[in-house]
Amino acid sequence: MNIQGINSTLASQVTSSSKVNRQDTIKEVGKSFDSLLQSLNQTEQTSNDLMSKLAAGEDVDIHQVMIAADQADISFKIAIGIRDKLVDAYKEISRMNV
Amino acid sequence: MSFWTSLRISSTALFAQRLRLDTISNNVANAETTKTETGQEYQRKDVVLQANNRVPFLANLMLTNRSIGEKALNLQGVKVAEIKTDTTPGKTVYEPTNVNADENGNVTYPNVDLVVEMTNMLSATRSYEANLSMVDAAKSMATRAIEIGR
Repeated sequence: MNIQGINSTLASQVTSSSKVNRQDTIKEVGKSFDSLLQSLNQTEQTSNDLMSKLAAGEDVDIHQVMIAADQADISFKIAIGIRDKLVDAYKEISRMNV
Repeated sequence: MSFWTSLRISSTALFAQRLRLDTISNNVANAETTKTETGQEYQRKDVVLQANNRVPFLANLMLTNRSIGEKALNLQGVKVAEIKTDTTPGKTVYEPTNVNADENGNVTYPNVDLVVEMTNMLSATRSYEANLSMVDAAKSMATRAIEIGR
């Protein structure tokens, strides 16, 4: 196994990260979170549609509606989990001693 | 998302079992129907379940929008291939007073055996429950996965 010294890996990481524009990185994270929210919105919409169909007495299976609701629920939890991670990262940085 | 695969598969099974229950209730409802549109007695129906293998082998390998699990299985759950009619003859009873009796006074009753239908009903119900448990298991796995690092 190839074990690198700590210094060399750290140094290479620092140089590579400094090349990336920080603004771009933040934008990238924001963008991916945005697309996550959009897909969450879509799942929610599907669930809502099915529910109103069921309520209107259309030919929809109950399990279909419940599974769609579950999907929306889990998607929502994933979004919350990722938001928590992002906020945690922000807090961690804001607490940093300069 | 690959996690939805198991939910989708369970969903097809739930649908199939519900349809099976539909045919069973139809059989029970028509257990004493001596005349249908064809003029014959009612004949019991049964669902034929089939593994839902939607994509041909090579096409499955080429697909990019399928999860590893879907590719490995190349299965999309179960589907109802057809609703078959059981053509075994029903029992004939001498009943001259019945409006559907033939010239000899015999009436042919449907080949529906209530004991068989009840057993099938239990089987369908249990199968439905088993698939509901699969949905629950898939959901709790996902929920636990979200808690990583918390």
